[in-house]
Amino acid sequence: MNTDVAASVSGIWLIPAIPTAFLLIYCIARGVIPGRGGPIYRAEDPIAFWIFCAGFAAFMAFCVFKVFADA
Amino acid sequence: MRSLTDQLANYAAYHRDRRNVALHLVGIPLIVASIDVLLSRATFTVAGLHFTPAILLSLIVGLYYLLLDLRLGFAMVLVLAGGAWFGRAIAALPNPIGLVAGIALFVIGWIIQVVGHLHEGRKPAFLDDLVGLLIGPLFVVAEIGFLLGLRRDLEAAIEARAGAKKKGRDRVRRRSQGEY
Repeated sequence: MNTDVAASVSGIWLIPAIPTAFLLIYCIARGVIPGRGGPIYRAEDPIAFWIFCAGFAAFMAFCVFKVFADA
Repeated sequence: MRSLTDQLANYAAYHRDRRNVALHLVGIPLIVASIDVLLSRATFTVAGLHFTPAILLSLIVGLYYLLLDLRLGFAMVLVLAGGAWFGRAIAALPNPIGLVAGIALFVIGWIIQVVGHLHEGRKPAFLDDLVGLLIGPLFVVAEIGFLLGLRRDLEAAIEARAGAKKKGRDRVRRRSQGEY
């Protein structure tokens, strides 16, 4: 069986960036909409909320920066 | 595994405002297109076959849709194949056009979704169940099918559980009467 594998890695950082973007949207929406809160509901725990948001946003920004830098 | 009717009825319960449904018909395809574009920048060649992460994701998601329902799943496979092709075409544009286009589609798509849910007055389905992220594209294709007069039985089953769609004015009137 031919197992030749070649890859173009330009844009490989977008693979983790997209789930992170969804996590950021999830975190923000869960954080600002009352109802099912949990640890990321801003009014209950603002520090945890901002840590989650900042963490996801920073990682996403890093991934996008890497893609631009590799392009 | 929950059935097609279960999944669509649960998702539809969060989308009963006609304006929200109309906005989802635009927003969700934009988000799907953006993911196809962004996941088509990296390519892998295995045994002479070219793959992108978008194609691999489409294969997995398409299989899930086929397991839910063969007819609707087949329609989704066609949509996903078209999306993967579109994504590769845009991603292949000179830098940074493809990347900027992908990010712009993603942001615009989500803005449209948020506006839709502001009209709805209810949070998005995926906040309660992350599977809602997978059901969104299926909901769009099903709604287009309903508009074309297809799958009336499925539409009736969904409305029996989630209720009929409401016009914006109906919602405002009912809200002023204290029903919300």
